[in-house]
Amino acid sequence: MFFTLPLKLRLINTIPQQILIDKDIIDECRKGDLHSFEELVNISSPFAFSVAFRMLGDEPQASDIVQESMITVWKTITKIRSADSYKTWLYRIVVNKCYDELRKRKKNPEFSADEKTWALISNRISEEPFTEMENIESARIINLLTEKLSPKQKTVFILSDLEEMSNEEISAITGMSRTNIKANLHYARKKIGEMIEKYL
Amino acid sequence: MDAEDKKYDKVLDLLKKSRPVFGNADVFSKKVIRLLHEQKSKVSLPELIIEYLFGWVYTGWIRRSMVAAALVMVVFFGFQQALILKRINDLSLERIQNGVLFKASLTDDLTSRILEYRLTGKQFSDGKVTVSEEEIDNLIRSVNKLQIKYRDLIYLIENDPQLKKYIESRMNENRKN
Repeated sequence: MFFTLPLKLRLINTIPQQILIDKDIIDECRKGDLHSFEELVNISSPFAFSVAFRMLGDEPQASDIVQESMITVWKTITKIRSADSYKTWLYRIVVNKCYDELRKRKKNPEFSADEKTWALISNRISEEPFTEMENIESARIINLLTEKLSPKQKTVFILSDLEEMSNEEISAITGMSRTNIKANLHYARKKIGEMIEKYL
Repeated sequence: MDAEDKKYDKVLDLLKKSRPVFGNADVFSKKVIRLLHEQKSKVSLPELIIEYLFGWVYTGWIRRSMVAAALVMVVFFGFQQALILKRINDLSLERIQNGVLFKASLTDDLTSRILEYRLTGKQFSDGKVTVSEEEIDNLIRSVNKLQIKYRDLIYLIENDPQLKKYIESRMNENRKN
């Protein structure tokens, strides 16, 4: 079955879903080794970008946020004690920066639902098997589905349902309680479900 | 699972599988390192001084030692407080003991005994007699009245030689008996 899938899809499925970082790299970075930090950025930036991009739906902006986050990580790397805490630390910085951006946007909403995007979703889900979407397409769909969500609900939905993080991880990243996460996730799923029911 | 749930799951599956593609991580990481180098060269003198003076606080073992020292200081503070409280309690007990010593040096004079009573925290050190505040006040008032009457009587006797003579003779008789 695996070899019958298109090559593009096979490649997607082989990408690790978690940041795998050697403890030694963190130790070297803490000692001020920029080469190790370059390696660290190389490994972890795609994951940070994934979260930032899904939250903001804007490639240059997401890239800028990852860049700022990496600089912040370098400045505070001495506070990081393990590879696990590095992951949480990085995601926390990225999510906080995206969250601020989303709150700014909430004051000046610039996106509105359009028929084309719903048609795109409809076409995509009718495909068997799914093929990978371009960044711009997935951004349009996420923006459309999460348009009516609060920044908190959007953050929890992306981390939980798209990045497939556990409630414990989300709690460590966002600082929200597990009950709060569950409540926000419930409302987010409900609202998205209602939109899908209405437009698809 | 109804049709709406299926649609929801399909949309979610589509989004999950379409992980955003990050252009070129190598180029990006080089850019980050270049920015860090640039920032490093732009570091101002005050920042360097602060880093030189206080940068050591980020060293792991120093941080741990400082935490341990802070804990020791908190424990020591608690111990000191307990010691001070104990001394205050001892001092208040000592006041009562001093009151007892003071009592020993007094005469049986009522005023002195009342003074003692006040000094020892309104209790007689003998410990068996309990007297209310009202009773003490009544006693003081009676004593004062008696003293006034006594002074008036003396005054009368002094001003009446016959009466004085009579009382002296009676007193001498009493002494002889």
